[in-house]
Amino acid sequence: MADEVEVTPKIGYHRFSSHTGYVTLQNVGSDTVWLSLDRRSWYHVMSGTSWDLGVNVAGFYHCTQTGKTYLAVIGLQRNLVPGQLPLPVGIEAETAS
Amino acid sequence: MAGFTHYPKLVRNVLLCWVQPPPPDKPNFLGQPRFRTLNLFASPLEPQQSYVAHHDAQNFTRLYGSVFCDQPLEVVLSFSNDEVAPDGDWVQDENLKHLHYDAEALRQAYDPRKQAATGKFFATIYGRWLRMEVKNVGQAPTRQTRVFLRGSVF
Repeated sequence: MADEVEVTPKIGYHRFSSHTGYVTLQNVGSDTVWLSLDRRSWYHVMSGTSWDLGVNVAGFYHCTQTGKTYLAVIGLQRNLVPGQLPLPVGIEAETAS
Repeated sequence: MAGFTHYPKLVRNVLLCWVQPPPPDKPNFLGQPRFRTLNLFASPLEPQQSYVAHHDAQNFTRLYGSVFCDQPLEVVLSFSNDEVAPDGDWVQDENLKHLHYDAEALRQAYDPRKQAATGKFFATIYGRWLRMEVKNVGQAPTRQTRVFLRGSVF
């Protein structure tokens, strides 16, 4: 899941298209990004720098103090599960008997 | 594992610019913002009139840029270290113009007849907030202008 997010002084929320296992983002604009997962504690990401964390989140809050900037955001799933899981029959059924 | 192991670097580092006449509006490379969203030019600069703009300076260690115009210009970069606005409010877009820009970093007299000598500038940062003024000190309105200010994050 890769997105580019516009960040302004108005607090915004970026929702990933599915839950993540790892989030990485880079401030590719010219103003400081303020970032929060819970809208209570905030930390900043300066221009040109990146932030990444192994975290399972639905999204994050963002804003600037002044001006406008952009975040390049990548959210990775930790496990990619095939659509159809194999059913526990066969060997398990045999050992149980 | 993701991450960046090198020092920060920024491609999109135009902080302020005025380009007259503005180029045709077209999409930018790989989804980057269209240039018209960066270009602050609105109308020709009349004699003794100024363009003034502000920007957060904290992200940058050095500022550089170039100047071209058919009229002589005075370009001034100055900085404020105010932590809050005069009324005590935290700094925001609306009150940037009310801060005290006590640290003048650059005052450059651009002369169109001396492009090589006066058409470029470089400054370090002296404060938290940047104010840039571009004044037409000529005798006629500007017809062509290209003023760019870029910031280096390292």
